[in-house]
Amino acid sequence: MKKNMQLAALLILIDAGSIAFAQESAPIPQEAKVTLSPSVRQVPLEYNAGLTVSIYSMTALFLTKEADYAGNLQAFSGLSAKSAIGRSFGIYLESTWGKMLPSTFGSSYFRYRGFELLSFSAGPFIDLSLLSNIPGNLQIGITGGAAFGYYRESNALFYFPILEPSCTMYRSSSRSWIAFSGSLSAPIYLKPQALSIGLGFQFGIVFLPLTKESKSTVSP
Amino acid sequence: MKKIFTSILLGTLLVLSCKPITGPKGHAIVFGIETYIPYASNLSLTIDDADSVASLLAMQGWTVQLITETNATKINLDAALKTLANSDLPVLFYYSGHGDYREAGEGLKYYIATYGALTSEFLTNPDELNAMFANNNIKHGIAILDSCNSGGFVSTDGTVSGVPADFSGTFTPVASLVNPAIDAYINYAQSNNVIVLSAAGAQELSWESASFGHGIFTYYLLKSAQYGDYDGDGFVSTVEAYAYASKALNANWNQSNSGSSYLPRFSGEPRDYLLFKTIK
Repeated sequence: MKKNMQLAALLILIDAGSIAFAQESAPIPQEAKVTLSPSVRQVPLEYNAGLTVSIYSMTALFLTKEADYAGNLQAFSGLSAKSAIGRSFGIYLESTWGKMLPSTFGSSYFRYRGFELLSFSAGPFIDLSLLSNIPGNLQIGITGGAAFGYYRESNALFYFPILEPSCTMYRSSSRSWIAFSGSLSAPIYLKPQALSIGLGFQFGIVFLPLTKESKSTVSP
Repeated sequence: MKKIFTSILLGTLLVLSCKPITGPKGHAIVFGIETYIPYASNLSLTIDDADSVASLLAMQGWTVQLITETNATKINLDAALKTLANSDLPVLFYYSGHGDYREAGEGLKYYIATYGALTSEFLTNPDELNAMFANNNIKHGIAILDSCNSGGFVSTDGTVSGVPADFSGTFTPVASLVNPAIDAYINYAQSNNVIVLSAAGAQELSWESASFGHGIFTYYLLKSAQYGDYDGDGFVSTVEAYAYASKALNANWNQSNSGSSYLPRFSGEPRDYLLFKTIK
């Protein structure tokens, strides 16, 4: 019975269209009619119309390596704007501006150069609650796209593809149209001369501009 | 708690075990040539350039071979590099003298006029210079060239420069570089590993002046040891030396000599070498 109640609570988080999908796979018993508790009502992402916009800061540590040369660590700091389109699954659209700092000097007295970065990427995400009993608000996704690096000291621009798997957790706030997000990501910069693989943490503010009233009950 | 303490201890040991860099270290081969008659006009200040650069590098911790005039030949450059074969330390080649370019089958070919004569046999082109480093298994090569047309030695290496080939005081807007940058990525092929800091572009002349006592570029390169530490870490890297020399040359020389404007160039390589410890 306890398991059924959990299932019902999860279904409440999903809007009408998604419920139809859920009903086919797992019919809800009569006793599953429940009233939303205040904590469930605060779940930020499930009752908007499938669109969130977030602004977040990113800090990452990269290992950069040119072929035949030693690798070295570089720190990255940036700001991003991200839009998530979809409810339980969908796509991210993301743009990042940031700065990669030079690495420290290594044993052969060289470091990797720092550069400014502007990137545009997109990719799918899925809410983990679709896959397991993990409660909502935890998304995994991967974005890929294009980036431009700029060596300001020498006025040189370069292009490279990027790839960034991420895991994002959302936290509601006291205001219905704002939530917070924290992400772990593993950005990969496929630069023409060197490869950079990073581990980053992102903290962001999520805007829910199209939030609609949540339903208080769910009928089978 | 015990785990946290152990982690902090291990982290501290790791940091302490890394030997901090206290200053530059490497090998430098410094070339200066003034005598070119009867093949070209003589120069006046290139030996002064070489002397000053050699002195500064030696004072900074580099081991220096100063080679001038009749000894500054292509053969002797190769021989000097052979003595540094397989070095794990940076190997810097500094050159002050004439530069030139010639028509070649596939386009223009650029040269530094190593001593001998202004014929291809004695001149040194970028392919030959890179081959000398590569054949001696020198991975950390740096070339600083104060000569006309020395930008022909600079490899953009997957990047696109916003400094026009013939600089006249204006830079190319970054937006105009977007498509060329994508093309550069698609067509990227690593050409060499030598970082080149050139005094001038491939189509530009490099100037010397008695009032500076040096080639203009070399004058500001020397000054960069004092004023070029932009990130305040106590060191001046090749990128920082370039940035200082480029800005200072543009602000001081180009503003008053608009008919002979030029600008230093820098390779597109991602590596940046420690050049000087900041002089205070």
